[in-house]
Amino acid sequence: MSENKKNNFFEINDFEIKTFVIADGLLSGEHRSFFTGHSTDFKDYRNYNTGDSLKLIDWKLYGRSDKLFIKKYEEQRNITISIFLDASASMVYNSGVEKSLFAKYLAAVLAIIALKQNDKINFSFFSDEITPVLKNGMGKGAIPYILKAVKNFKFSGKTDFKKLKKEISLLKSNVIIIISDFWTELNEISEICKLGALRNDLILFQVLSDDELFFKRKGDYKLIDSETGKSYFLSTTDIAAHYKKEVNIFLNEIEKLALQNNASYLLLNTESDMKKLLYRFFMER
Amino acid sequence: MHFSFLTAFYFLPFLLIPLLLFFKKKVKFEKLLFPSSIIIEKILKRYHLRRNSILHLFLRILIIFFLILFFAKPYFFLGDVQKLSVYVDNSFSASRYMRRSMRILSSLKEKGLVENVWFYNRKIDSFFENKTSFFEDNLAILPPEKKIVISDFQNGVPKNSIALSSVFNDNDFSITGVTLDKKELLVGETGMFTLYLRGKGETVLNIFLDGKLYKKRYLKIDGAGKEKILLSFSTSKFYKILFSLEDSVYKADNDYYFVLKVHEKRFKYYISDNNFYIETLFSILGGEKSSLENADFVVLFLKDNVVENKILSLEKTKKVFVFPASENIPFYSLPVSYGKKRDKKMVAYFVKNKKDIFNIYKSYEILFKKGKILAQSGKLPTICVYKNLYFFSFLPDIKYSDFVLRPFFYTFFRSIIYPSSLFSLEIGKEYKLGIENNSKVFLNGENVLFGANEKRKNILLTHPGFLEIKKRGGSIWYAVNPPASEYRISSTKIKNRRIGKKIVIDKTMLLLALLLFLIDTIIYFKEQKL
Repeated sequence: MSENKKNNFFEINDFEIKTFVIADGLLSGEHRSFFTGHSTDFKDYRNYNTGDSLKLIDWKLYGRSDKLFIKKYEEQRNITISIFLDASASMVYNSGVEKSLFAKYLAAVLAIIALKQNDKINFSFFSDEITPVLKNGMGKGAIPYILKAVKNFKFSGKTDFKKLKKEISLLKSNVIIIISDFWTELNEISEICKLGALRNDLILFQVLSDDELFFKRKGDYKLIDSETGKSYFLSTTDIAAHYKKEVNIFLNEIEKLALQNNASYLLLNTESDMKKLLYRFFMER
Repeated sequence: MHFSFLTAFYFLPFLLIPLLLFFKKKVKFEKLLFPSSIIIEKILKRYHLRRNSILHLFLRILIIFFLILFFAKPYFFLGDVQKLSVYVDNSFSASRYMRRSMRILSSLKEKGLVENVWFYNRKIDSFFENKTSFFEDNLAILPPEKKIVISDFQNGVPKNSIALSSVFNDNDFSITGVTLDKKELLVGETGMFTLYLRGKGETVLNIFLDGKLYKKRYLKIDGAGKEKILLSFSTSKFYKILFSLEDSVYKADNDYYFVLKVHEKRFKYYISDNNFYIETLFSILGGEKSSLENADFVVLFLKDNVVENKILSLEKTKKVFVFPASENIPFYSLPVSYGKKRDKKMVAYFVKNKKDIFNIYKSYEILFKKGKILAQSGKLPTICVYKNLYFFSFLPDIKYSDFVLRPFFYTFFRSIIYPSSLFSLEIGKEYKLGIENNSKVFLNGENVLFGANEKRKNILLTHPGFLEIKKRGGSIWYAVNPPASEYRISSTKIKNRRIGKKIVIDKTMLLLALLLFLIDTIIYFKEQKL
């Protein structure tokens, strides 16, 4: 697929159809479920982490190996998945593919998959306010409602991870998915990771545009932060070399935080093939 | 701190260039709404980019500043300098000299001698009037330290005035003087004028003869120079010659006025004996033989070397040249004093009066004084004068071939037959020019003398130009120029003052500029590498 065609894919026209195409493509594989959680059918072991419920520890295995393991079970269709989509102004950026649109697609695809798998879902937008769209929605009947809501939602405001943190702490959800660009302080991300991983399966999707990742622009810019409104006078010659380096450090830190807290993390470039990345990501989980 | 070239500071606005570029760049910056500035903020903090951009701006302003200082040639004096207060006359009359005053002032400043500069106007200038000395009478008003007054001194020169050292200004052209190779010029004779010029660059010399452009010459002057011009005249009269250098900067100094009286080659002489040499010489000079009564000049050959009383009486109406009948006439009987061998310098002098000395023969030195008997000098070739009587101690024929006397004789007789008159006057001096009651005086065509009832005999000159004095017998013309001292002011007083060691630090400024440029470049490349 050429670069242009890829770029043209994420458009608001035929949003519903395209999301279905991606979701169906992902679901047509051999796997039974994308989301793991509580179930009666044993699936796998994993190391015990601080904060994991003691009930989950396989004491028999502990007796044999002197190591703490937690049993993972095949997911049941009735798990609750909470999707939080960052709807702040920073998500509205276009360097080929509209970042917010890409995020909308991603959120919609995940919601469709969950609903098609007969899971319960909570869907919310977050910026400086949390905007719930669907609470404990279930079944394919909720799909059009979700798609319409996602498609029409307008992004604005500042990302408030403190509010998100509060919201997550009140949730009784099995799987928490956060879709954001995560342009915030690392300690806030760390807190979210800790909180999310304490009781749930946390998945972080970081959506970034090509520009944000590599800053390939040339010339002099008065760069204005779309959330804070702060402006900076920059010559790309002055910052280009440093930018890539600093972004990599920042992204590595986020990934590290996610891994430390047993959360899943996926970086999505808006220029990349979302379907492929998602497929690989869920396979690796 | 002093500066040799203050004009370099005209480039101070160039300091704004880095500043303008800095802000212009910011105006030109394209707006970009970016999702987050977290990374940018980190880069700016970690690599001090904001600080560096200010540092670059500051360094570039300093580089330009030091370059300007380099061109301004800064200097200072090490050690004590006795400073002067300088008073510059800026009254109306002195305004035309202001440029020259400024030259003097800047020359003094360059030497680090100036502490205060005062510009005094007509009000203070009036202190000069009816006062013996500006300083003595105004000590109470003016500070007690030593002073220099730069003025045209229309109201008199103060006693304590200090002459100044040479003042040069190479930026504009000026004619500082004009000389002629002969004291007077005869009709048809070619005179060589030497013009003393000052300035730097190429210019045009215009020569106006009686107000009309006569000659034009393109010149190249480098500092100071001479220009020789040959002119000859066909009519006997006063010629008003204006030498003018074209100069867009300053006009008043560029003109030099010259008045020349060209003589008609005609005179009558009587000779008591036939003498080939004298007759040939007089013929060249335009002489015509006549009777003793009609002659203006008389040439006598004395027999027995005795001066008769009737010869002495001739002197009242004519000029008389007396030669001996034979060589080495003793002047015992002459009424002309005595001569003596002065010293071993062996230079011959002829004394006309106390002031005028003519060097005629570089072998012996004889000094004649009126009223004393000649001691001994019979063998020496000398000429001696008593009133209008000129006594020669040798025969003209014998000395005709003498290579020293031959040109001297020509000049000697020429100057006596055609006496030169001074037609050159200086500004600021008072002259007695034989002004009669009916005389009218014009300077550059304007009546400059006195009221109808005023009968002053003296004239004080204030402006350059051609001065005409109309008398009954006709007009006499004079050239009026600034005094030579305006161009060549010399004194030892200033030179002897204690002047500190002059330290010029222009190269240091250049070095600083280069050093800052190096720092700026290093910072720039370091940023790029990072």
